[in-house]
Amino acid sequence: MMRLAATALAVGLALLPAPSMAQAKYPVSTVTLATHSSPGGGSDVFLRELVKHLQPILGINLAVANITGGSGAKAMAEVAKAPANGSIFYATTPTYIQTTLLSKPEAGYDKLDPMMIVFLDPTIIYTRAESPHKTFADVVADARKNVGKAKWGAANPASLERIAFEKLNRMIGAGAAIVSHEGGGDLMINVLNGTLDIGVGEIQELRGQLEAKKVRLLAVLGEKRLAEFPDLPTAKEQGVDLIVSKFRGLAGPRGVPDDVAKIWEDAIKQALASPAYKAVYAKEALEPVAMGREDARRFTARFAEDVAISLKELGVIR
Amino acid sequence: MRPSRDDVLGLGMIAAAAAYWAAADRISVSLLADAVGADGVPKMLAVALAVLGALLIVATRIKAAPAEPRTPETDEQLRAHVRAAGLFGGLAAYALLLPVLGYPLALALLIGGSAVYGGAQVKPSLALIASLGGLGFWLFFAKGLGILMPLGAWVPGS
Amino acid sequence: MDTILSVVGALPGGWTLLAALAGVIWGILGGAMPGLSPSVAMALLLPLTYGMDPTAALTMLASVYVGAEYGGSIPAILIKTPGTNAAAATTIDGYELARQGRAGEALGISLMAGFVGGMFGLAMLVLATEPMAAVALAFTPPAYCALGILGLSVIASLSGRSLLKGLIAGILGLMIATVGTDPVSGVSRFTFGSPDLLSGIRPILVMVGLFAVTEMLSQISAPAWDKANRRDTRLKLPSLSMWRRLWKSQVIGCVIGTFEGLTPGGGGSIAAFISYNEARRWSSKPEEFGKGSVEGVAAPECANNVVTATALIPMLSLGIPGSNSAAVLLGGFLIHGLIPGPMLFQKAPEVVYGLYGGLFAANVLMVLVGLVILTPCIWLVNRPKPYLIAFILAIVVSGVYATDTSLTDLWVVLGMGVVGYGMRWVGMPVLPLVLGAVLGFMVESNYRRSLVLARGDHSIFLQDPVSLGLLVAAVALTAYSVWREYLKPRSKDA
Repeated sequence: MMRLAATALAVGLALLPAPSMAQAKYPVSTVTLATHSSPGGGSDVFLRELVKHLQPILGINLAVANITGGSGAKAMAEVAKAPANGSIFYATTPTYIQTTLLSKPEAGYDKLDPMMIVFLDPTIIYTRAESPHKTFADVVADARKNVGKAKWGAANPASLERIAFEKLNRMIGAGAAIVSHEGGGDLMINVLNGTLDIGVGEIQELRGQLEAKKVRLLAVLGEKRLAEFPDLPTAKEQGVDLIVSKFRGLAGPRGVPDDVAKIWEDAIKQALASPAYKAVYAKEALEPVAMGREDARRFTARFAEDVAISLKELGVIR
Repeated sequence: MRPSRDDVLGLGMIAAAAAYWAAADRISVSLLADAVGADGVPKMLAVALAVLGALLIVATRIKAAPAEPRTPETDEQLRAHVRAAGLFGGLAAYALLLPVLGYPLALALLIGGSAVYGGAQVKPSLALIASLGGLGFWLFFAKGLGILMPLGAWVPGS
Repeated sequence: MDTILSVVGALPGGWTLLAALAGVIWGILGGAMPGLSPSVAMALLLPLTYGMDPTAALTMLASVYVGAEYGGSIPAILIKTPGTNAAAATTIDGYELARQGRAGEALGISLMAGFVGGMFGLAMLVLATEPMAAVALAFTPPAYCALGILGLSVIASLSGRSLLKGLIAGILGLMIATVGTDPVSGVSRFTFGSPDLLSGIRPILVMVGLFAVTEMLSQISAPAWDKANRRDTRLKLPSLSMWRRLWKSQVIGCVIGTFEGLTPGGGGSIAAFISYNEARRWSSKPEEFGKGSVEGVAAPECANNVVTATALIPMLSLGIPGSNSAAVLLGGFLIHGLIPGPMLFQKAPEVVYGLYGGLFAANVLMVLVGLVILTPCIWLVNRPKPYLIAFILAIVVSGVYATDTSLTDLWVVLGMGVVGYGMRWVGMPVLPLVLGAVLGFMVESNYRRSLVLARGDHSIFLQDPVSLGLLVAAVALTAYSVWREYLKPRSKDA
């Protein structure tokens, strides 16, 4: 339906095209990287930053295409039916799995073949600076003591963060009111003005307030502490086994040759190691994992299974 | 007595309210829902619409509100409705043919077709204006803004 | 004082000025194109700004916003189709004026009112960011719900002859707003399996259908094109006596626009409608409203341009985008490695003051560009009617489809065109439907959030002081409007 060749706008902007010789010859001269987010949105910013550092390494044209609409359904459909010659990839996030499970579009995540998982995104629980709660353990203890009083906020209605808070609610029997919002900004207002006790979100959304010391980080919902915030304990360390894992990766149509996937894996690993790129992603506390094709497939399948189980438990899907 | 337009509207709204309620009733229930529920506000709206529809019918009967004219449509009005339906048909045809013919061609046909339908003379300049319109809009959106406008199934290599 | 000096020092030169000019021109064009909202116009330009210097890039984006909010009024006045959500209120009197052959005058008023609004908003942005940011933070979920209800209360005075039909239209609008993902549980509602409907029906689609498509369906059989515009084919800026008449409506627009800009959600649209309503209440000639009042153009156009500046306050000072447009601008900051928030003013003051200077330039350029293009615009709508209809339809179907390349969006617009045609037939006003569609999501989502917070206790709406104040205002305004419109003994002209 749509022609993908016409994305002249987004091409270029790479610093210096200095192709490295180690790469095998890539089968096409222009690769489209599709995202469901609109220009300036999360995945869009991720892709454009990646392109900046990857283009000199790959030595081919990388164009970002914003195929918005349907929370990713449109972009997935577009990529799923594209030729599997390495000319198009889709920037994956948990959204594509959520959308597939929640709204069952014609082409879901299972119609795409994961090629890489590039980063894991840490999820953070935070509160406002004036809050009486100094640690996540305080919050939990307080919620246990005053059952039915706590107020927690998550960014989106059926997001992973929301699901995590629902789990926490059951785990500690807090009976907390869990309020969902229309994005992280909306949530931030209600944490800052004291309507909510705590919020859950990503470092990127918090940076502005964090620099101004208006918010206090309480816990990271991961297996280990973050390199950027070594003093911030995990939820697990504070006695609550709560983990939210989010990722950023690339997936293609089914049938992309293995050697193409290998070229990407090598190039992305090289880009991740470059100091210039490191400085950018370290600031966002992104964890570079650079999982190759097999690992990415396994990871995605397990991830989808976990989310499906959670959604079923909560009665969101049947 | 002939039903007035208000009666038609009132009955239509009651029917719409019923259909909307039925659709709201089929919204799936989730454990993430609040006390109001995903169907709570829609159902309130359905009730409000039905009540207002009924009030409208009653109000015309007791002349509490100015009723719309009860006279039948004049021939001229009927012709206007038919003309409007025709134009809508053209727009619907555009929407249906867009993926097949592609954006530039479908748009040129829409421009030419609706101009003729609106009373423009069929002459070469009309075809020229329509083609330039289709081409110009396509250049603007597809090339200028980089939006993926469909080219149509008939363009080779697309 | 220091702030002002910094802004003067940061007045743009060279590239930034050029960026502002390009932004304003594209903004006016995008805003004037029904179906492309200001945020989409900005998003389309965003990739171009990645390689630019941050100040020039952000100035360009902000200039698009300024231009687009103004540009929306051009089709509102000339062809009764608001180009942007916030220009819907302008159609009421703007199009009436155009039909009376005063299109040039109406365009002149909307241009100057937009300039006054933009400058006032900029002054607020420069001088009062901190106290204003505090206002933005005071809005809790019950307060947002109440703000939406205050917006809906305007229905009482936009219903024309029949309050009942106005209320029905309002309910229909609210129903349209319930389509999409449920704000609390995330289940899909009324989407009938279409992924395109998951994120809801954008109000701009409703407006384009109800106004533009409906108007064309009616015009196609209107016997002769009324040549009313012929009498006045040139842009006419307001005279001194006109300014004297307009000052009150502009003050109203400025004050209301300032506060609405701070609060996410309806933003410019609520500001425009409430300003229109208040301008009528305080006007010395309220009877002209709806029949071609100059104040009815000035008030909403002033208000929605104030919003272009004040909407940046929560974005810059808190890092919280209050509208889609502000969200795109936030993306622009992030791309350049700048993080909006309380520290932005210390970390990158040159960018902030550069942006202020750019906004100043954008507002001046908006007037200059307007002076150049408006007369040709009037000429354009005086082309032979069959061609005009053909090209209006072409613009509408293109703009609507281009935003998300979605056929579903196109069908929604065509469907709303039929609905609008039917509404004319039964004498139902369309503006209440528009208000419902714009505000429905905000009211419902915050109503339910508030109840989650209060565990089902409705008294939360009375305990929150902001909410209480807004609700009292809504009730008072509704009562007054109903009394004035339907109960007050009519004077001889009724």
